[in-house]
Amino acid sequence: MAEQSEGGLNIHPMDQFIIKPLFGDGPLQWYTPTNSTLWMALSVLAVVALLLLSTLRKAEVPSRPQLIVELIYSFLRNMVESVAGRDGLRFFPYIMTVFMFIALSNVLGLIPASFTATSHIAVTAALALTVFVSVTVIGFAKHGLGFLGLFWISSAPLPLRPVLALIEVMSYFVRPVSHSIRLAGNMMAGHAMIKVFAGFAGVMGVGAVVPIVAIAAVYGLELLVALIQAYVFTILTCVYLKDALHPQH
Amino acid sequence: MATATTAADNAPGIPQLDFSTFPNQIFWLVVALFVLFIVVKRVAIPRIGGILEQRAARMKADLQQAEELSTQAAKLEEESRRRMAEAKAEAEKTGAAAREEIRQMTEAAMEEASRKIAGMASVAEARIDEIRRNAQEGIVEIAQEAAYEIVSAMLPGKEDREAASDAVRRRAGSEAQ
Repeated sequence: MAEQSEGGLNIHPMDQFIIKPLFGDGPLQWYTPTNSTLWMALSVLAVVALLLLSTLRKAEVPSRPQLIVELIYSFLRNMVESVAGRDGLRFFPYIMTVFMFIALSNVLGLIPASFTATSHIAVTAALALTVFVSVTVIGFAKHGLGFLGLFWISSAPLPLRPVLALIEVMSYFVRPVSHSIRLAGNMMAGHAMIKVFAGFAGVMGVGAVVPIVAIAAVYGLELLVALIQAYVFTILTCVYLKDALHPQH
Repeated sequence: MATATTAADNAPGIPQLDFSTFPNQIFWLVVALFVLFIVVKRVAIPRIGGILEQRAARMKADLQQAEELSTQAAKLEEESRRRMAEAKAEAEKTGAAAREEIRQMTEAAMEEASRKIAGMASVAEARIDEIRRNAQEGIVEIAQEAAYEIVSAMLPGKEDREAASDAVRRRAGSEAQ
């Protein structure tokens, strides 16, 4: 990229996150297909391919891809059921959609020169806010004002309860922030770090072996992080959903 | 930054905080999630759930069948054991009957044989008696003859056939008693 042409230690680790229109250089409208759009679409295609192509034969003795898909399905379903309860299973399709999208987007983002849609706070914030708003709406729809009992900790001593309620309300509203920044921050940091190492490698000549080895190590770590962050996002969604369905602690 | 884009111009530091790209990203995210959600909910989940259910049903059916077969096998074993016992009892009965029959036949044969033997013995005894009587008579006759000869040799002229015969017969008669 730019650093090679200009020489010296001129690394732009954040350039990889720039959103560009796919076609031409025109101004960015809300409907303009961008590199982000392309990689979101590829993530969707990858998920669809993984889920549907592997299960085409509906084999009783599964092939390896089918086994993976079955494991993902059972894992997510058990997670939703154990965390959010049986009535949480109604939301299982959405939760599976979000998990698969985030996981594949994270993993595809590790392909060199690709783009990670989930490294953008806009995407993760939209995902987190969707969860936040839905959970709040479901909570009030199911329990009416009783949903506010979530903030009134009846097991605490009475004088402490208003204080705790304040803290609980604040933490409730901070949830979408931490929920979204955790994912975007992890993705951004990992990719930026790899890019920085790559920049070092570009100017170190033979010594480039060190950053390249480091990149390989970080890459493995990032693969793990990609899946773990998808899992964390999903399980937090389940936990929040549990609060909406069963606000009593 | 030779290839500066509009996004980079607006946010020289962090592209993530370039708010002008937010509507675009969110719009496409909604589209992507919507498409994916439809596919996952309508196709993927029913299909995978179906596969798992089918497998669970198959396993359950197989286990049930195995259990049925095992109880059937146990029943068959029980049945065969019962038949075995029956056959053994039958065989014992048959054997006992056969032994009894053999015993009776042997007894009958023994009786028959001892009767025959008894008959033959009495015949033989009669014959032996006769032979002995004949032999005795022969001895008496020889003795009479001898007695006569002895008397005639010792006392010539005094020999008496009648008296010698009588004397020998008397003697033999008293001997025989």
